[in-house]
Amino acid sequence: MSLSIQAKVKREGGFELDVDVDFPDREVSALFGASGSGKSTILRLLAGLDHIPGTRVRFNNTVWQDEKTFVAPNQRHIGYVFQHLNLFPHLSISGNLDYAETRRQSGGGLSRQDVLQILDLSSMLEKLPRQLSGGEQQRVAIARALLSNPDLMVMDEPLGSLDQAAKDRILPYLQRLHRSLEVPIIYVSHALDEILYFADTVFEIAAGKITGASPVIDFSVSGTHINQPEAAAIVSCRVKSENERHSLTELQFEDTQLLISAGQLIVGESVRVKIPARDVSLSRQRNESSIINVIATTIEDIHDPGTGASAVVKLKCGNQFLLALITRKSLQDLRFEIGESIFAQIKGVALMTQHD
Amino acid sequence: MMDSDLVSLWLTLKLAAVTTLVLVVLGTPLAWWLSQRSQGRERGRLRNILQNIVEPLVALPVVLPPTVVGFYLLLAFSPNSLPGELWQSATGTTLAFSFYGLVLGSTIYSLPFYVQPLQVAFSSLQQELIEAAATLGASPVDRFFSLIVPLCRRGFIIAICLSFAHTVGEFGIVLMIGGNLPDETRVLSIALFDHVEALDYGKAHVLAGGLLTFSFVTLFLLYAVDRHWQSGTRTT
Repeated sequence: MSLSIQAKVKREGGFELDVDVDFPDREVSALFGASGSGKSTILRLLAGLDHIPGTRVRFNNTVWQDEKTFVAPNQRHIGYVFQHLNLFPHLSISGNLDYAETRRQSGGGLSRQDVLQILDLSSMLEKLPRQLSGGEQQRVAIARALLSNPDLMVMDEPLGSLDQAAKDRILPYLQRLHRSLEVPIIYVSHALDEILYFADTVFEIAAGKITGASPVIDFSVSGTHINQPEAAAIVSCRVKSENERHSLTELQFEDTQLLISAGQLIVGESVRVKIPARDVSLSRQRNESSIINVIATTIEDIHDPGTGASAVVKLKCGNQFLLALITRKSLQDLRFEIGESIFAQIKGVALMTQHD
Repeated sequence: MMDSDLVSLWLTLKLAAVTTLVLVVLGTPLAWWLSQRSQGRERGRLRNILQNIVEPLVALPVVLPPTVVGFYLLLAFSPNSLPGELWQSATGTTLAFSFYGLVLGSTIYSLPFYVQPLQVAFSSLQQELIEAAATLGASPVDRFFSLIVPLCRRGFIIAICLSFAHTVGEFGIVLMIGGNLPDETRVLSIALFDHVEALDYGKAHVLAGGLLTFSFVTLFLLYAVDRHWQSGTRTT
């Protein structure tokens, strides 16, 4: 499977989009950039919701748009989740799901039962959209998109209209979805935490141009966004053993170990974990402390923004990197230097996804 | 009520029903087309110019005296003009002073009362709902009937009631192009005029009171429907 788009768009007001992207298969590709950078325009072109001449879109062996061809959006088999809540207001939740299911054009894919279960919707089928919270409505919208049995899922800031609490509740559903769905997902967001949580490959976009494309593990530790408060390193580990006495799981991370509290992991499998920069502190000695994860690293880089209270230190451990958010005062008082060996005390490690 | 008044009543209802039916078939796509404004793209420019011309044309009957519209229609219906000639060669009858002439005149005269409420309903549709339906595999025709009609049902009901009631109450245009032929063009408003002219106030009261009651009930139901949808199933 392959999806590619080449587009040059000039809009009144000086906005210009100029992109040429090949999206990877069976993965979550994230488009990450500020509002107005052109992310949504790319999605609209992919789905055929905008018809702008000079655009080329190709999916697998089918041309969706070129000079001669334009396939209508209803013939592209795309599951589109919009930023704004847009369930059909005159239909119940099950009516909304029926709308998609009766129009699906191919067999296979997730069954209605699967979808209801993944997104936990069984209790609200008879309700009308306006009787649900924003987060619930967006879960239904995702379910509706899935029930059309799409060949491609496209999500335009699906959590953008939700508050943080609703967002935190819906993110685990997206994770489950990612594991059960076999089609590529294009996920657009300007929120770093969503990107780190969900993406496999990150395309950075600014002012209508793709400025970077990298696996999320690399993306998480490089770029200007590492100075954001939600910055976190994503690292890959292997499950080593279960420590049942303390209800902890031991992960092999490069040539050292991390302990996390996560049940139900299979020994030997590869997992991705998130280590928020603000949960990492630095120490020259291995102290006696309540923190169970203390690992030896070397300082790779120091990002001192020059203003504000905090700075970010990038640490190398084997072939992977961590981030530590420390105060600029500590940075000056302790005189950390690039290349220096240092212990990283890690307070929070969160399991992200399981990978084969 | 005399037999001739019953005939007039039947004729009026028939005229209003046929006119409304014609408006539903022709006015709906017109209202849709007028509601779809494109945002400053090359391809949309010509359409915008056309819309800028057609929109006031549709609204003209609201401001023009019915007799003005009737006068021009009468000229157009004459066998000496192209539309009248075409009609005559096709059917062998004249368009003026016939039921079909009345239908045509009423359609033109009631057009804004059908198109405008519907156009407002169409333009306030949330575009993303229609786009969502498209990505779910619904074709344009499917989207229209499965989504746009139910979402705009309030606009449809208002448009249908207004154009029906307006046709029932029409006078000037009917007199100009239809004249006063029993069984053919003498509708209620004309019959009422006849009774008043003959100083037969008793019969005039029956017709006038009947029309008044009809209009009030129509508007009463219309507002009730409106309130129901505003507080009920309608959401933004």
